[in-house]
Amino acid sequence: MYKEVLSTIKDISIYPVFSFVIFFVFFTLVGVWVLKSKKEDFESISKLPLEETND
Amino acid sequence: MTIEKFRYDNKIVAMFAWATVIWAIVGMLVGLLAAFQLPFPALNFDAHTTFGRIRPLHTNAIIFAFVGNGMFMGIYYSLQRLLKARMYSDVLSYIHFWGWQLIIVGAAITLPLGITASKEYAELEWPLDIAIAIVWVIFGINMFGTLVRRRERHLYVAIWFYIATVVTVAVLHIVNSLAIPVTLFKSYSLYAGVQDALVQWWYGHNAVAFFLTTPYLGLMYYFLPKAANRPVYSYRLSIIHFWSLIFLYIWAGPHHLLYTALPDWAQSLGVVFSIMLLAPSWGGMINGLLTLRGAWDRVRDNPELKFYVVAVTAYGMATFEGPMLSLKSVNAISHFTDWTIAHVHIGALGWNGFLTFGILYWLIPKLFNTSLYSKKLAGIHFWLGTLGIVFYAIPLYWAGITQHFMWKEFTEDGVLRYPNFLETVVQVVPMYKLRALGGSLYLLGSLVMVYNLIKTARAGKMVANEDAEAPALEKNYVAHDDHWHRWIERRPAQMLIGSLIVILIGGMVEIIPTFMVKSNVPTIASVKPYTPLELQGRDIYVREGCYTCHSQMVRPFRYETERYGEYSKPGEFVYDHPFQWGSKRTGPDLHREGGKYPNSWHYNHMLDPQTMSPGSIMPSYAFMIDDDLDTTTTAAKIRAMQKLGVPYPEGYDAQANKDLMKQANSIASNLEKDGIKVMGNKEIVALIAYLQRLGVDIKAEKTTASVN
Repeated sequence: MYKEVLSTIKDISIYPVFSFVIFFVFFTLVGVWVLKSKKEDFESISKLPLEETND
Repeated sequence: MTIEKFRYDNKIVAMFAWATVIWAIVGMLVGLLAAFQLPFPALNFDAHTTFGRIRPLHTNAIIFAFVGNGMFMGIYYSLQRLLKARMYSDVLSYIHFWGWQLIIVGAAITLPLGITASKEYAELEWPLDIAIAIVWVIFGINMFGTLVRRRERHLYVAIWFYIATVVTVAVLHIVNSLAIPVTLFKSYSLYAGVQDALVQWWYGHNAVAFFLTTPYLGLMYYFLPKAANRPVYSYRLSIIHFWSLIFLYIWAGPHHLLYTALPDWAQSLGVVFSIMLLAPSWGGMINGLLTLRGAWDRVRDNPELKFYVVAVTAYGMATFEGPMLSLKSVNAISHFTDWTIAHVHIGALGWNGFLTFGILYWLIPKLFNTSLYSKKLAGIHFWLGTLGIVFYAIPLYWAGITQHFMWKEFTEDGVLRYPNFLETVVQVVPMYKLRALGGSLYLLGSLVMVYNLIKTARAGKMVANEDAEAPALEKNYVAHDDHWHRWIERRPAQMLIGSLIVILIGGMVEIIPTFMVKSNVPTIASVKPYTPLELQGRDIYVREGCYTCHSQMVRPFRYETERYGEYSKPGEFVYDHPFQWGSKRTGPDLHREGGKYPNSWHYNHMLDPQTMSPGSIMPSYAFMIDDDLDTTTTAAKIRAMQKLGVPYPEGYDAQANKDLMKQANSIASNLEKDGIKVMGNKEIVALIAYLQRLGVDIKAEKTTASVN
């Protein structure tokens, strides 16, 4: 029944395809960028919570 | 480089901390009352304290009062330090604090009065919804003002989680709360049936994601390294954790609606994204636990670390269970049973509760410039709490699986083995008692904490304004090491827009097609709008929170159609503002209740459920027999429904009450035949009218079809 209902919507197939594509592109980009970065790049940032002015 | 002197606002942090402690106890007490009401229905006392009104009070108190204040406490403390700046505006901080507490008090008054929108975790009516939106925006302005004035260029990962929280909660709250006000205390959801369900669970799931999870992950990324005194295990992992988590969560809502009348593709989308969520969630959990590598010896004598370890482990357990529960075959078992309740309490008691307790044990001594009064008491709290979680969760897992298998068991002759739903209730009542014991242990532990914290605070003196100094940011900063992510990391506005885009894409792709379906939902010609009396009866059903124990959604399984009748169709709910599918069956499904029993049965059952169904744990609704139905609102309700597209004839509002009384009197005279004397203008009559209407329209179509 749902297939019939949904097939009446114009270009319904674009929705799942669209979600998959943006998801895939997004993750590839984040993944590649993070893997390319060096651990040292983040060393100072990752220590931010440990800084205390008056401890 | 000039060194600037400034002061951190510790007072606001302490205020939120005490609010957290107070609401924790209140929320748990209310939860305990609800837990005891199930095995002991006599504890439903009167109209204001029935389970249907107490349960929303408990969930709202825990989520928005306890965890909400806990989140603000942690954010106000860590944000100032991570940005090396005082909060942007003290005035905004205090408006935020008092505004939030007033909203909580408003909720604590309105929910027991039955003023509810009946959407889970969004029950508050429209005036309070508006107040929430305003206070939330104030919080957002205060946070972004602080970001603008910061003295630290880079935004630590915790802050991204805070930003995503502020942005997403605003979007979720506004979209889900859209409604047409009828009176000051009553509104109708803008959406109906399938759309309403989809929007509600898109909200509901993301309330878990963006109110209970992302801000607390931010707190984890700040307070855990702090207590362990070492940086987070992998900062790169935290980047992936953040982006994938907010990206995936927003899609996962439909897994609350598997096997319902929601379109298949939306269900599948929800499942796929829920399964994928396992990866970032576990990435985050592993990141948290591995931060403790080489510091495990410290866990032994450090109370806050003990709590953090269990909290992060509970996060891992709950986020493993979540994707599993969204598999359709597992969901068929868990949905509508106590399994779901056990699952959410692993999250609430373990993850949110224990993380908050850990932070409090660390923060209160810090704010009062002293050390914790008693580590031993904190240890006792830890064990009481942990045992409490175990005693809470295991009986409910047991109950959930028992319920499912009893619901679906057939005899060799092919009929249901337990055709009477009550048998499946009586079976799990002992589990409800054990669960209440677990809850009591957990509360007891929390009371030990309250004592410990008060003693600690008394021993010290609050440092309301803590001196700090840091160099000002250079105005014309040129980045040398231009890593891509630094671009966004340094710019809170971009971060805001980035997270907004990410969650909007997910939200829109999920919701828009269903709205397009709206015009295409297979309309069932025989499904007609409710009569004025039924509409009033439905609003009583909503007011009493019947949905907290009764679903209105027969799933397409043989064991459900056998028990309840024809499975539910999307076209049957087109006039349901708001939908009442429910999420839990402590009692049976009611979608095909219409015509099942005579009016007199309903009358006697509402008066005293135990006489009609011995062993029933439903509260008595005797007050509906005494209370007059408020018919002054009928016309306004009809007009509001017309605005929402419900096809009542033009000008029907003027004569609605005439029709209402006609139907009411016919029910009253029908009851009189069975020896029950009741006036037609009583609430019970309207409720019976609604119950007798439930799910019958579709039967009319069948009769016509067979006649043709």
